[in-house]
Amino acid sequence: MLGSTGVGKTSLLAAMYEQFSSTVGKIDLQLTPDMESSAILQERLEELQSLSDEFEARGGVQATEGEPSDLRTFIFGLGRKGQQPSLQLNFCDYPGGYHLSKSAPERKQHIRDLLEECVAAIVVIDSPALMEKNGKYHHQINKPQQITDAFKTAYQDLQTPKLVILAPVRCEKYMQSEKDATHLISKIKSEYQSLLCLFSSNALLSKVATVVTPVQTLGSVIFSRVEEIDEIPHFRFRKTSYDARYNPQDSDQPLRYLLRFLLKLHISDNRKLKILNFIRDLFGMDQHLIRALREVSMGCKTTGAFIILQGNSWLGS
Amino acid sequence: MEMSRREQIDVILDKRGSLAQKSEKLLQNTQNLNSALQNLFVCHKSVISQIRDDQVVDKLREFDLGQILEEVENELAILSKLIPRFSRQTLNIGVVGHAGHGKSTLLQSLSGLKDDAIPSGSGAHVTGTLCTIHNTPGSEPRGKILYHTEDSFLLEVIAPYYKKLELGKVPESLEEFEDNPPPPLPNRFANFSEFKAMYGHLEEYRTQLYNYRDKLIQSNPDEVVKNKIREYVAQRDADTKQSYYLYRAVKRAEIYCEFPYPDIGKITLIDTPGLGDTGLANTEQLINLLSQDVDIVLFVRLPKLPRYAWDSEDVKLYDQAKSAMMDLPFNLCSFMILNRTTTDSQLNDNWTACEELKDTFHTSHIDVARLILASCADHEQVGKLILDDVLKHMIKHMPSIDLHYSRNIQSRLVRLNERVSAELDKITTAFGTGISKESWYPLFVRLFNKLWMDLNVGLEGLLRELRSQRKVEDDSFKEEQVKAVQACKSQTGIPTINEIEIRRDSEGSFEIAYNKYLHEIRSCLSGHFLGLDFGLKKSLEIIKARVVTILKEKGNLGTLAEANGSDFLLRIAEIIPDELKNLKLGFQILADFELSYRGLIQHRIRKHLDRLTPDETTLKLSKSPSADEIDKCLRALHSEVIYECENALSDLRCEPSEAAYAIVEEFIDRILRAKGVKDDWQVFLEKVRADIWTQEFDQSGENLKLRTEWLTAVKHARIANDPKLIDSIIDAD
Repeated sequence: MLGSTGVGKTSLLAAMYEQFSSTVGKIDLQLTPDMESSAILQERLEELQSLSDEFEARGGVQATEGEPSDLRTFIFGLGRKGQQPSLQLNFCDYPGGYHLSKSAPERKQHIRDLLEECVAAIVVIDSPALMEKNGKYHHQINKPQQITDAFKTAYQDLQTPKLVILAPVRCEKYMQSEKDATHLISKIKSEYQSLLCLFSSNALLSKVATVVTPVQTLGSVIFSRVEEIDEIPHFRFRKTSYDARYNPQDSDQPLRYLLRFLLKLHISDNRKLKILNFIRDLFGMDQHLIRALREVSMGCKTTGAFIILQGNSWLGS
Repeated sequence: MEMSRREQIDVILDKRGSLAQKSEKLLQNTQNLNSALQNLFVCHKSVISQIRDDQVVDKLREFDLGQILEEVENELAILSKLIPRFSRQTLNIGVVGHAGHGKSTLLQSLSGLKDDAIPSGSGAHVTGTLCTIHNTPGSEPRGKILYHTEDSFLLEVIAPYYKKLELGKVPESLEEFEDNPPPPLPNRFANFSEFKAMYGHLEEYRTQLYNYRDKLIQSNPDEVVKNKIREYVAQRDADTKQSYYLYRAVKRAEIYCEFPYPDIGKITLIDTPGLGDTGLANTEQLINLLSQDVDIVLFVRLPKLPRYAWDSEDVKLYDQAKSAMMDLPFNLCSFMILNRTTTDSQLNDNWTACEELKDTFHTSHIDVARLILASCADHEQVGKLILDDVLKHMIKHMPSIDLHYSRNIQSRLVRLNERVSAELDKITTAFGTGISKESWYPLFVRLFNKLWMDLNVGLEGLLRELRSQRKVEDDSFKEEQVKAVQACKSQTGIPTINEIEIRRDSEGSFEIAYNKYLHEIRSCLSGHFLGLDFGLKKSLEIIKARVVTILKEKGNLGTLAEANGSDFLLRIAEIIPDELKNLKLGFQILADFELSYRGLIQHRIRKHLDRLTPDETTLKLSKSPSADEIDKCLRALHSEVIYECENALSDLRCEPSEAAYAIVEEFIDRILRAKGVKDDWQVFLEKVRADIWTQEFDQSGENLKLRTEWLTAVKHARIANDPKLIDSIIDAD
């Protein structure tokens, strides 16, 4: 889970977990956090839900603070309902402050290590920072250059395919119409141009799949305005109506794409790839799970702002 | 079916209406000619005083504008009488005759009124009170008495006495008149009873003033019943000899009654007391009245001893009336009534005298439409022999008389037009053709080339600067934006919780109150942005001023017009001759170019205001709204709209700079870079060289500026003297 401080990485994860069961519907699949993750996420969830109590809200939970040792890995078990999980998903949520230029070299190294190890990276983007005031606060808040730099070193000599999910969050305002969504995508393309150029370079084009999945983390709360007080921006949010309740939208999509990617890796017959063998072995044991994953991945959205930027062969239906 | 007399008279009056309109135009055109000639007159004087070339001065002196101006003013005076005549809603018959010949008797017979309204009878003193009697079928006889004002009394009643009797300065106020008896009658008049009587009248006016001065101060006319009219128009009661005084203050009496004859129509009788009589000073007023208000004149003559032959008194009266109506074919507009009396009258039967006058009428030098023999006291004879005949005559001849009248005036105008035209031809050449081009042209070319270069350097320099600042935010526009946003924030129009609750109660629901508040807050907000118009105009005007400065300093154009900014550009565009299209267009384009709030900003702001439109807003009230909710929603939407508008506006901050660059480039393209435009400048500057390079060309003794002024004044006079402008009446019928 990649993204600068305060953009909403933990919130995304909490919403993803909370909404999983309702979005997969009748599919025989369940996501189970381990005890520790469950407790933390529950706490975060309550914070998120309480944001809908006030008409005007700040739009996110308290930023994760802490040292690298505090860095949390949320562990989920994925499997058939009522049975032992067949697959374990580790989401590494790290404090966004690691991207700050003043942070210690070992912290930056930590991010690079993570990127190398993880099969997928979710880049969480604070949408209002990207979109408002002609992107005046984008660099300050989303730190696109630092993120690009991290990938640049981590994805050198890449051996195995990777999935990069660009997840604009708090994007309620920019998902109101088809036109809004197009505008959001074009803004992502221009503001993350150097990152996307890196991925589409000759060395990475065939190994990196990139997709955009906007997530409305609260659903009921929409960006209102930026107030600049003493030149410091304050992003103001408000509820979509006085009685609106916590109602996240599309928080399942990053997970669906992730699972679709894993499934494709499984089907691939490129045996040279070490990690693929591992996955194949894992899946090979449970045909039922594969079927369920296929069903889940069918639900990947591909219209509007949901767009596969590259690596269609790893993500195509 | 044949039309009734009434209808035929209406047709005549209708036709006059259209003549009145045409006369208005003619009057307007003649007034224009008058002012153009007045202007030329002033210019003529000033040119003569300034010019140093004796030859030119001599030529100019030959030109006599004074006499032409006098003629134009005469025509104006006549035209101004034509319009009231043709606008009148009645045909008017004036009754003229010496005292005691039956004028009042005739008026009484025609109108059906008696002595109590129209004083008559022998011995009645001639008062001079003007009286009009209108035929108004169906109405009770009544009178309307109009009084002199203090001024008109002194001017029209008293002043003629002073003038005729040569008594010196006329009193300027009623007090002065009352307190100072007039100087004694000059010796040379003292032996003539006529003048002594006049002097006596004047003294009576003065000594009796206390009896009637209230009426001179009163502004409203008096409405009086029929049998009281005499008290206002006569000197004393017919029976009791009780004295009246008010007639001295009366300017005119208007009597309304139904004439006792069938089918008469819009006819008015006009009593012209005293015309032809001695002893009365203000005949001028009567003549004026005839020329404007009378269509047909009935002379009333009583054949009696000793005057049973036509004599000089008759001719004098006729001539007086005729000269008053000088543009009319008077022989078609007048009748002679011989007043026949019978044995039962005081005067006995005058048949013999009547026949005598009738037989010798052709020797009288009096030319009228018809001589009628009738008894003015006999109702039936007046109706059959006089009224029927006169009306028939009027219906038949009045349209051609009207046309004749206006054509007479018009042909004089045509002659005047030709005279003016000939004079203007003469004086156009008074200045000669100016000095020869060879002598000044080399100097001009040198000066022109320098100016052309300076102007290019100046304007291209400005353009370079504007190009480099295209992306710079415009200060005055930004300043207005900040002001507008501040106003939006400080004057929000958002109600208090308490106000919302009251509004809910008065509107019936929170929903309605909310929607109404949305409208109110929106219009309050959009109102604050209107001030941006000023900012846009100001920033563009600054650019125009910079261009103008260069035109004045590098192009010397400042001497051509005193204005600044857009006005200056417009003035120059006007001065540039029409045939120099590119050059003229360039100046016009820059002068007319404007940035406006409506054109540039409004639509970009408007869409953000949708949030505050009930049908468009995304923030609807919940199912169970409260005043607190409305307050929060309104505040959120208000802040959001300001935020979005501010963003939209900040995107536009460079617009004025962009626009300034674009329009100045367009201007320079037109006036410096377009093909052939350098030649245009040369042609233009050649015409105005004396203004642009005053010193250089005045020294050459060319008097160019005076010459241009003079020719412009002549040109304007020519335009005002266009013969086409007089055609309007000839075309009628």
